[in-house]
Amino acid sequence: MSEHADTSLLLYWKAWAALLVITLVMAFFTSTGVIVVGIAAKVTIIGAWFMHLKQERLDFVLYVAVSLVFFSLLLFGLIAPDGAAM
Amino acid sequence: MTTEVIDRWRSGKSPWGHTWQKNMMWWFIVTDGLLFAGFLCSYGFSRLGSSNWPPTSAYFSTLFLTTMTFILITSSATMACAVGSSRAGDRKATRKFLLLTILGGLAFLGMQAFEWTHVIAEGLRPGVNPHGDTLFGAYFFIVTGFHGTHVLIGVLVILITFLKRRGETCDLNPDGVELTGLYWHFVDLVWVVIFGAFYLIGS
Repeated sequence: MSEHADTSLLLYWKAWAALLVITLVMAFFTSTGVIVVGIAAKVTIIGAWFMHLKQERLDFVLYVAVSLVFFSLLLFGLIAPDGAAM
Repeated sequence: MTTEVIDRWRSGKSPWGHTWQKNMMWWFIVTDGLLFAGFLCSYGFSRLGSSNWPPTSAYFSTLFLTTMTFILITSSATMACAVGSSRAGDRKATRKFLLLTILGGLAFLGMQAFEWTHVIAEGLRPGVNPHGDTLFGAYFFIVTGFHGTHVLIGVLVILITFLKRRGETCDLNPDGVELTGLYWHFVDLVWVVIFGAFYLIGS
C-alpha cells in the first residue's frame, strides 16, 4: 500500500476515535443540549471525512446540506409548536 | 456565473465533477434522509404532545445501545478504509476491510434482533405499551425496523461487492466500492441521529 493510502486510512481512524469519544460523552451526559451538539458533530464528521464531502465542490456540499439539514429543521420547526401546545 | 452553471449542466457531463452514478447515490441519500427526518419529526411531535411518554430507560440499556453504536461506527470506519484501499489499488486490503464491515453489520443486526426480542417479551407492541403512551411502540418498531432493513440491505450490497472482488480477473474499480461505502455511511449517519434523538433524549 502506498504512503498516501496509509495516511488516508489513518485519517479515517482519527475520525473514528472522535466519533467514539463523542458517543461516550453523549451517553454519559444525557442533557438535551449535549446530545443535539453531539449529533451535529457526528453527522459533520461522517459526512466530511467518511463520505468525502470535504473533497467535493462547495455548491454540491451546499445542495446536500441545505436539502437535508434545512428542510429537516424546517419540518420540525413547523410542527413542534403544535405538538408542545397539545 | 449563471452562464457557467448553465454550460456545465448542458455539457452532457456530471455538473459536479463526479460520475452520474455517484450523483444518483447522493440523490437517493438526500431523499431517503428526508424520509427518516419525517419519521423523527413525527416522533418529536407525538412525544411533545404526550403527557405519559415513557422514559426509554424503561426498556433499553444505554450501555447496550452505546455498544451497538460503537459497532456501527467501527464498521463505517472499516468501510471508509475499504474505499481508501480500493482507490490505492490494494485488492487484498479492500477485501479485508469489506469483510470486517460485513461482520460489523451482522453483529449490529444480531444485537438489534436481541433488543427486539427483549422489548417484545416486556410487552411492547406497535399498539401496546405497558409503560405509557401506545404510540411509543409504533414509533420504536417503525423507526428501528426501517433502519434495520437498511442495514440488512447494506450488508447484502457489501457482500455482493466483496464477492465481486474475489475473482482474480475482476477489474478493481474503486467507483463501485465508493458507492457501496456512501450507502453504508448513510446508514451509520441515520443511526447516529436515531441513537441521540430517539434513545438518549429523555432517557
